Amino acid sequence: MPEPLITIDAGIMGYRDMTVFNGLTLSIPKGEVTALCGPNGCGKSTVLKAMRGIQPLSAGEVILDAMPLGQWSAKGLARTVAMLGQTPTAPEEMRVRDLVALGRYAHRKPFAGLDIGDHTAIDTALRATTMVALAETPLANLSGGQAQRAWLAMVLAQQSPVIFLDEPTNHLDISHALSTLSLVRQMARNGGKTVVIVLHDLNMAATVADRIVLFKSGQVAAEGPVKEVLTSQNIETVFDIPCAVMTRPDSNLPLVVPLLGRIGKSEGNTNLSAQKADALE
Amino acid sequence: MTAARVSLPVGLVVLALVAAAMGSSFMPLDRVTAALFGQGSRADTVILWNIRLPRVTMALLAGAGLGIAGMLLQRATRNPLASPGVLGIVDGAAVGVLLFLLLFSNEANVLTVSIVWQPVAAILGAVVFALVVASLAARDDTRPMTLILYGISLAALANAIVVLLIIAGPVYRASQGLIWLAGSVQSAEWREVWMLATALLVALPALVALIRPLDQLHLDDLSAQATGLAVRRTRVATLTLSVLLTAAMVSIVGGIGFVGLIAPHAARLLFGTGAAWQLTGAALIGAGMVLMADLLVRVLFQPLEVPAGAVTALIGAPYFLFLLLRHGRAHA
Repeated sequence: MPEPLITIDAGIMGYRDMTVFNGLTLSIPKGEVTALCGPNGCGKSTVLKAMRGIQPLSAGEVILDAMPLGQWSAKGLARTVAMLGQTPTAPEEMRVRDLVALGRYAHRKPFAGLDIGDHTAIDTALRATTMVALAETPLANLSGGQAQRAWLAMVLAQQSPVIFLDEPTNHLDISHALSTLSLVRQMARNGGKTVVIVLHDLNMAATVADRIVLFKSGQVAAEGPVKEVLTSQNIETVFDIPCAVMTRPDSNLPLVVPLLGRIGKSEGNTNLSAQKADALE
Repeated sequence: MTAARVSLPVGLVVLALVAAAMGSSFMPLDRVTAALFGQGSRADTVILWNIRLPRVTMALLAGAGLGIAGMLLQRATRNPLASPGVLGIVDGAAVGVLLFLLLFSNEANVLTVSIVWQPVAAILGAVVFALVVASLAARDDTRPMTLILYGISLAALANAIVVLLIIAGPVYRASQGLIWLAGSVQSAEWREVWMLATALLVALPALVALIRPLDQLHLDDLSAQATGLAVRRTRVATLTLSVLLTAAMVSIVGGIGFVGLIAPHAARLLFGTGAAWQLTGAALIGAGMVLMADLLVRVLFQPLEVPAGAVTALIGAPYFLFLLLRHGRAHA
């Protein structure tokens, strides 16, 4: 494993009277795409927020680039780690370019307009996300896939070497999901960025990630290179479902196939408990 | 939007001149300008400089301050229904002022301490009620409606205390207190105008420093924090400034309601959502609203002196209902 960029050491965190993880230790290597996967409510989003200092640990510490997270300034942290949450919001009438410009906050000098560096970063981000043509469009007029690209452009404009993404393919159809992930892949490959991405879909994770961390109830159940982690045994342990792992015909990547019969009447209940778990995340 | 950015300041100047011309005796515009530049008759000069100009300036400054306070509050809470009046801050300031009047005036209705302490009393009252609303809302989730309901409850409580203070206090204070509460600029003096101006001048550097953080608050909390904004610190600073401004304005002109609700809304429509422009717009529109309200009561109810706050409430309350119907449904 390459040199770790971020580590959580004996982290304890929870909401009110519920502990999400207790004594978690985790390292994120530099320059790779790490996918955090696991069932709903396993704490993967919470880990991401903890590593970005959005939610403080109640014990233990996060070390970023050899310095404890608490010693980073708000802007210094933003220049190093950008993050896109699950449900980002901005005013509907805001134009894409103005949204992307908000990504420059941590770089700007007080009382000055956007300078050349800011404009270059904004234009580069718009080009990388193919949003140049839509730069003057209000957010309200964008489709789901376009809106997601606009937010990714804001994150890119932040020009941070590390990017956290919390389920960026939620609510996207499969083709938009894949183009979003290929953009993420590009950021890591060509941009040399370290990416940590929370994903539901194991096959998507296998497509985009170098490494996968599988969580189960606030613990790391398995971590390592994609092929080592995505084994039928690991997945059965973590998700409690029978499954087979095949090798994709187009590449050498694993393909996870759940082996379920047709889903019966209990489907409604499963959905309900899944929603509850989502709310907890 | 450019049209509004140019025409609104011009309209405000015209409105101010008209307001200076109107009164118990009409003064044509040429006499107004003559008196303004020291060329007019002695009577004109006295009327303009001692009675009308303080009144006009006070209306402008108080309106601007309330408009700014409302914009800060709406941006910090991300709640289009929030305003100093709705959240109980205005009534809280009123409790502070009435307690001050009760404790520090003698039988002859004369203050036993300097009037400069009145804003301090207003600030104390406003801060107490704002803190109660904030801590109640913080316990709960951050649904817009919850905050508004807490605010309205606390405003009702503050109002009840105000009524008790007026009734329980000496008779001579009742009518005086009621007129002040309804919000008026009719008895304006330069000393009070200077107090308002000082409050706004003190707030100005803080406002300028807050412009970019306020723009960043367009984003949800997580995104704003991820881009480098110290969200909690920004929100506390913004709310504090809003409460202080409201208290300073209310302590001098009384409870001119709904300006802090309507001005930021109209500013968003006419001036755009950029914090610098929206603040400027809210200040101009707030100033225009109070000046217009004062002008209306002078023209329509002459020779009765009806408080300007009655007019702003008459326009503002239905507008609030309209917003409540539109946004309430979306969030409930």
